[in-house]
Amino acid sequence: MSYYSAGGNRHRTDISSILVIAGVMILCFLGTIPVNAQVVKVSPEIKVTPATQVTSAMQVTPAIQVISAVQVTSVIVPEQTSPVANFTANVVSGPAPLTVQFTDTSLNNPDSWLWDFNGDGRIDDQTRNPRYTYQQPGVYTISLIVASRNGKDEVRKLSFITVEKQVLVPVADFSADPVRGTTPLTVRFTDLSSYSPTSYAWDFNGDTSTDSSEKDPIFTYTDPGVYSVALTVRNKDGSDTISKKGYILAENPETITDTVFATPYPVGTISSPQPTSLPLTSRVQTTIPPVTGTEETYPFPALLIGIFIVALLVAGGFILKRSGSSHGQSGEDLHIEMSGGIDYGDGLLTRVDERRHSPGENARKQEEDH
Amino acid sequence: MTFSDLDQIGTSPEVTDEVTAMLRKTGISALQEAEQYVRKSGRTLPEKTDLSAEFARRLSGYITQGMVSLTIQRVSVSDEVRQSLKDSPSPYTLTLKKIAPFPLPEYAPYVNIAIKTGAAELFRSHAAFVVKSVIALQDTRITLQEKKIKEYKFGSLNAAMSIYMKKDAIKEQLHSFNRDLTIPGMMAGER
Repeated sequence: MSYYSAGGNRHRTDISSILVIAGVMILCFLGTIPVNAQVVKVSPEIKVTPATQVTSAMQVTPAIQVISAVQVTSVIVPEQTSPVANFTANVVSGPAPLTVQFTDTSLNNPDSWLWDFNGDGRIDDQTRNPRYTYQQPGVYTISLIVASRNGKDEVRKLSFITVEKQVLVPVADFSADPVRGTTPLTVRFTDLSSYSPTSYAWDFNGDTSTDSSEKDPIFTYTDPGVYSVALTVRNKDGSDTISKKGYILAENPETITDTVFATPYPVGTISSPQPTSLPLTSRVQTTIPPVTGTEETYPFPALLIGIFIVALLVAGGFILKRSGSSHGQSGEDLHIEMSGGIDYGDGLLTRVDERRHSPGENARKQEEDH
Repeated sequence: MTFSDLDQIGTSPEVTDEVTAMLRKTGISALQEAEQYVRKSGRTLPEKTDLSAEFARRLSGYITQGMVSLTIQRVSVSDEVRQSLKDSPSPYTLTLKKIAPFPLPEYAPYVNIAIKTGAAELFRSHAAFVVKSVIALQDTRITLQEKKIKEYKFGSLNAAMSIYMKKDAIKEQLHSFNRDLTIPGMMAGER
């Protein structure tokens, strides 16, 4: 279709624009668009102006001059107070185990919440502001569905929580048995490190070179001397070293044989290619090693055991006395009655179910009810 | 269906499992106080008396009954059912293939425990709970006759349920689960 403007110029109209205008007018007429709706316009308005009468030979009837089409992209209706789901978390990343406090920030007062903390589609919590602890490292998607009588809404936050692997650097420790004896002295070393080391490096004589990579090695000292022992352990998260100075005392058997009954073991008479020459009494070490064959007895544990036995006897006598006296008491035995019901809140379906515990009573009560 | 019909609904074994697990995990003060009273009294209870088991059985029954009652109410007022009501003298069955998950209103089952000797009551305790749940149904079959619902059968019923301890106005969450439930007497395919 075409028309002529005041200047006599011929213009073509856009069929699609006319169709859009007609459609909007029909919708308005049918009332599907509320009168208070706000139409979102994304291009200039239609301007309807009467055409100027052309004085030339061609008579032009008034026509609609279409400048451009209105494109309706959305219609905003008045707010229906449907809930709008949203939430925050107090922490979004950290090492496992990671405890996260979620806070509901949904709009329009929902009254039910369904949380999925790990993106598996299963409901994990139904409280408003839940707390959840992630045990396993990973990246987690969180979903929240909120609902009210006006509707429901869902928000899904992808890769929202990042749980990192727990870093566990091993802590080195060990023991040895025996720590003192005559050469050749065979010592069994036991690893006591924590956090699962994956490799071991033992230095049995303090020369900083690795003598064994076993977890629980056995080593024989052939030369008399005082030896420092070090252990380095490693895993994927790091390493740790413990060194126990003057830890092993390997004694010359000839020296001990000559003087064992005559005098105390002479200090400083140990000779070896690499002695540390430390007197026994001033040995430097970070822990006190177990000394075999020299256990001293203490009266204290025996005293404790004795007190414990007496307490048991007294308590036992007391219990026996009570049970004996209770049997001697006259009177009926106890019986339990359980009852209950459901409160639906609106009172429409409230009912109390009174039943006795014993099966015979239950059957009688059911017969009465029916 | 009348309320007395609902009384005949069995307790869901899955709900019983969950309630039993809940009682093992969390102490209920009313139950613990009753057990403590029995111990301190030095008296005996009838043979094979298990307070915890009876408490779990009773609470599971109330939870099941409340869930089924509210679910039936919710389904009964749905558009599909209302539009299907007709004055037919012979019974007819309406099948609802899939009902989108819907939340049930909160309900509060409660249990009272009384310890007696003869007719004399020595001890009483009360435990109240709140149950919130979201139910999903599939293949629900409703038998109607003369505009009245005569029977409900569930094809499958999935419940996401949270159980809270109710102390005055405070609710303390005790247990949550999400699983398919069977309701004895109300499942399609039962004989």
